[in-house]
Parts: sequence; structure tokens; C-alpha cells
Amino acid sequence: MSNASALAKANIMQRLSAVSALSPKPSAGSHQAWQSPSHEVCLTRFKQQLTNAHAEVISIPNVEQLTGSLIELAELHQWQSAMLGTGGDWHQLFTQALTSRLKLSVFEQNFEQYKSDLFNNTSVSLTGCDAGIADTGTLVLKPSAEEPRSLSLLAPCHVAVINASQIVDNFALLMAQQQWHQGLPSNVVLISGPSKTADIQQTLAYGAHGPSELIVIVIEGE
Amino acid sequence: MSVQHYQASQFKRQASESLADQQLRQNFRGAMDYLQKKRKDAFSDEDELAQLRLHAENIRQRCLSKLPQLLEQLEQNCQANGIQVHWAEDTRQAQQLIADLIQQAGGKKVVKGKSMVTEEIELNHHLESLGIECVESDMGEYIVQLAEETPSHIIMPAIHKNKQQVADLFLEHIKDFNYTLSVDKLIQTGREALRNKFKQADVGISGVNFAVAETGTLCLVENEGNGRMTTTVPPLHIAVTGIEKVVEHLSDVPPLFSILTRSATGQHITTYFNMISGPRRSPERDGPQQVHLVLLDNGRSQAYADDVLRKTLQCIRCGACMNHCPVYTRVGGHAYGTTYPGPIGKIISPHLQGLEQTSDLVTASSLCGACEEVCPVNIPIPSLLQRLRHDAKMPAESGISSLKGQASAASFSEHNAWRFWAWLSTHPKIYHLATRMVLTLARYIPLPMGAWTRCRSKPELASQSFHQQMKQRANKGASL
Repeated sequence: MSNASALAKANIMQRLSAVSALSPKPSAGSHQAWQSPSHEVCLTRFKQQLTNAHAEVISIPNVEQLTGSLIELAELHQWQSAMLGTGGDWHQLFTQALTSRLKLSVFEQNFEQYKSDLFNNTSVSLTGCDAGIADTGTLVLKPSAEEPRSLSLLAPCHVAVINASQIVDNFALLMAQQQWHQGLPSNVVLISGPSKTADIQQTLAYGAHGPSELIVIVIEGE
Repeated sequence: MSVQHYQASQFKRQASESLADQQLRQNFRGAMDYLQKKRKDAFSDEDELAQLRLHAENIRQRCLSKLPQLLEQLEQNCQANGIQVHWAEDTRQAQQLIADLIQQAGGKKVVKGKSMVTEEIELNHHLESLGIECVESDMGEYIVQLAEETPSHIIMPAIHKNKQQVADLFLEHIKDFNYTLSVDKLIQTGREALRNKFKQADVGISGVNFAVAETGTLCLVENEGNGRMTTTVPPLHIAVTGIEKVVEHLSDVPPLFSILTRSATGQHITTYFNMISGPRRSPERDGPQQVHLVLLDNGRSQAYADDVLRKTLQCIRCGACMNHCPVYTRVGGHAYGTTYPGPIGKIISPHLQGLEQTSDLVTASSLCGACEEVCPVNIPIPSLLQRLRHDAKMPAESGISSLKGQASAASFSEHNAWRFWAWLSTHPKIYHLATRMVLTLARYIPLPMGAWTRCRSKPELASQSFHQQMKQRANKGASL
């Protein structure tokens, strides 16, 4: 910290500490986010909320269907090129499904290496998810060396795969279950649909800066 | 590039000009009706809303009551995470600090995510003067920057423009733009133009919605993805925030986030909620190599010092107060001449700019209470406005410290008029003589009566004063 910043801090802290701010009334009000009576209801809500937010949701009964489903998507969307991480739960299946069908790149060097390709020459990127939130139809990603941040951001289409068992009722519950207060990775992202904006005359448009398409594949069986 | 400048001290003139602009009024009316309906639909259960508001208010008050400790904790945890923390007392310090960070990294090109604090410190202007390009990347902000204007709304910066006006602007500024009124195509045009900027940027600057002390985490709320681009692509990320944005626990975030997005745009959640707890960590492949957090006071500690005015700092910047304000809806955001317009702007700006500049703003309210009714954290805006009206005219009461510009709007003639009135009211004989005189002379009061009759008819006085009527009635009663 520079001297100027240290001095600014001292002055600000002095002003704030001179005040004895009253504590509020003990815990008035409450907030109980949405809860599901059963896992079926939870799953239905998750898919419905994502669909409402303009994401495409594909349910498959088991993991064996994943490659088939990816091949279908690749043909339907006519993807030319795809980008994957170097690991994650589905990496092998992604590779298996796509490797002979399109130009497949793997994020094994630093970002700077792929920047231009990610910006201009990638039709789709594929990732797994750390969790899902049913209340708001949200994917939770914890990007890592294996699945970097920009995989869910730069390509016009993002495909995310999630197991039904990863979906919890609400955000607060997820934080508590996973003990987020113990510390977080450098980046955690909640994604609830494709990128959008209503900045021009309150008219909704998709694909503002992030992916214009979000495809979520939910594996429903064990 | 010089930005069209509105000033808080010119509010009355700017408001009259806005009121006369039919297009502007139509744009705002449409937008406010839309946002009001969206919010209403998002809170279908009134009990849930009431409980959640109390809860959110309580969280904000608790965090403010521990503000100095939480700021220390935030700084420690951010630094432990590799986020470098800086402090600035005012606009000038913040400008200099940020410019230094950029120049030390050899940065020439900056992209900015949407951030009202950087508007507050007029960062673009300052960086441009140093030869650093600074491009706004939020679609609304980008439009506003092309037009050389400032945002007219804190959530939807280009709300004062319709698609025709945006298309005209693109035609003027963007090469090879095929004129269209399709909003989809306009957005795609903006996307392409800005993707190049992201690709080339050396530095990304963002705001912060919540800074979590417990884990040293910066949370950003957005729909477009430009916030994520800004904080992911360039090698250097600088986040700028007011000192009041800190929350104690991560568990404080879900309720505040939920009431924020529902109050702002009626969304149950935004497309992205970006939680940043550090720069790229080895062996990670992407993310900025450096993350800095700039904590700005700029008058906030003045509001903090007062038990009543401190409530101003509970604000989570949802914009619901302006969306429901009958004044804002009619005059729009620019007329206020402040970074934060509308009801919240009227109560925060006096601390940022002083009451000398903003004394007209605090009077620009009918005190209808709509702002307080929709505020997600129950800020009593009308009573804070009344308090600031008092502070603009009168010296501080004993035991309360003076605000910047305290009593700067005091007027000798107004003060004497009240003193005369007080004297008159406590001398009944002279008072009655005076009212009789006024009643007799009323018919000679000429038209027009200045400001009074500009929008109203001349008041008709009763033929007898209340006192005379009561006296007559008493006489009648006695004679029965």
C-alpha cells in the first residue's frame, strides 16, 4: 500500500471509529428461500426456471446417453470448433463424442495462447458444473485449471452438463452445505441463462457479451 | 471527449427543460411503467416481501454498525487471497490511485464494467486526460458514452433513449453499421464493437455489489457478461467500491441478492453472479494476474457519523426508488445533475458534493413516500429529505456535527419572514388586525402572482377569517 493510501485509510478509519453506531434490533425479519418437498419437484423447478430464462434444457436418463446427445447437438447446431478443459467429470466423454466431428481444442496452456481462438474461432465450449440451484434455475461453476473461467464466457454457445443429484433447493442451502465461508476458489460463477440485456428500450435481447446460447444437459439417473 | 455537463446547482433550470422535452418524458414514462410492473410481479407474496425487507434492512444495519471492523477484516482477507487493497478519501485521490495502478502496469486501454462509483469519481474523464482510453462495456453505458452523456438511471443507464435514437448514434459512430431498428441487431453491433475492445484491453475496471468481509470476496451482479469479461480477460482487474458495500458474512449475500434483483428489474436472479476471491492462482490458466480493490469514502463517513443519516448507507443500489418516484419519472435522471439521480440521489449527493450544490435537490420531492414504500432495505427517504432540508437552511443543532454546506441555503429574507410570522402569531390583536386587512385588500392582489399562479389559479380567500366566523357563531349561540 502506498503512503497516500495508508494515510487515507488512517483518516477514514479515524472518522468511522469515532462513531458509536447503534446495533440494530436483534434479528427482525427472516428469509426462507424456496424449498422443495421432493427431489422430483426440485428437478422440475430447476429445468423450468432455466427454460424460462431462455436456456435449452436436455434431460437424459443416464450418462451412457451423453455422447449420443452431444453428437446430435453438434450436428443440429453445425458446430465447427469446440473448446474443452483438460479435466472434469465429463472430459473423456466430451472428447469421445466430438473429436472426429469438429475441430477440438483443449485448454492446456495459458489463456493468452487461446485468446484469439476463443474470441473468434470457437463455436462452442463445454464444461461440467459444481452444483445447481433449483429455486432460480442456476448453474454453479467453480472454474479451475481443469476447466478455466473463460470456457463458460467467450464462445457463442456454452454446453454445461450436470447430474440431477448435484441440484439443491436454494443458494443459501448450497453455501451452508458446501461450507463456503471456509474459503472460496479464485472465482465462483452462478449462471442462470444465456447472456442478455434490456438496455435498449427495455427490449430483451440475448447474447449481449457472453454466450447467446446456453445448453444444459441434465443426467437424471445415477 | 467532453461529457455533456449537468449540475446539481442548476436543478430547477434542468428540470424545466426536461419537462418540456416530450420525447424524453415519453421514454421515461414507458420505462418506469415497465419496471414498476416487473417489480410488482416479482413480489407476488406480500408477507414474504415484508419479512425479506426487514431481514435485508437488519443485515445492512448490522454490517454498518460494525463497519470499521468489517473493513479491516475485508482488507485482511482480500490480501490473504492476493487482492491488493487501496483506500481513497475523495475523488481526486481515487483518480490518482487508479491512474497510478494503470500506468505502473503500462496500461493504455481500459474496459469498464458498469460501476456508478467510477461515474462518481469521473474516472473516464481523468484517464482520457492522461491519454488512456477507457471504454464502457455495459450496453447502456456504451450508448451513453457514445452520446457523450452520463447515465440517467443507475441500473439502466440509457433509459432516456429509444431504439431510434440508439440507431442514429450507432450510424454516427460505428463504422460499417447497417442502419436498423431491430434491437437484436443493434445489440449484436454493440457486441462486436466491444469484443474487440475486450480483446485489446490491458486493464478491466469494475464496481462491486457486495464485498464479503468473511472470505475476502467481491460479488458482481449482471446480465450481459461484460462484468465477467472485464474481470476475466484483461491481465489487470481494478474493482472500485464505496466503503459501505461491505457485508459481514457470505450468508448475508443470498437474501440481499434476491431482494436486489427483484427490486431492480423484477428478475428472480440475474444471468451472472460473479464471485471473485483472488487473481489467477497457479496452476490456473486464466483470470487476471492482478486484482486490486479500491475503497472510496468520498463523503460517506459524513453520513455514517449521524445516527439518522447513516441509514442512507443501507442502500444496495437497486433503483426501485427512482422507478417509483413521480418526480424522477417526469424530469428523468439528467436533470438532477448528480451521479445518483432520483430519491436515493437526493439523500446521498449532499454527502458527496455538499449541501451548497445540492440544496435544491432535497426540496424536489412531494414527500409522497413511494420511495420508502418500495425500498428493499426500508430507508426512510422522505424523513431523511426533511432532515436535509432543515440542514440546508439551519445551523446544526447542538451536539450534532455540521454537514458539508450546512445552512448554505439559509436566506436572510426567508429567515426574517418566519421571525415576523412567529412574532405576529404570538400577538393576537395585531394578528387579527392583519388578517382583517388582508381580507379587505385581497381583491386588489394582482394577477399573476409569480411562481404561485404559473401552474395554479389564484387562491380565493374566504370573505371572513376563521376567527371572525367563530366569533359570530359564539355571538349567535349566546343570543339563543
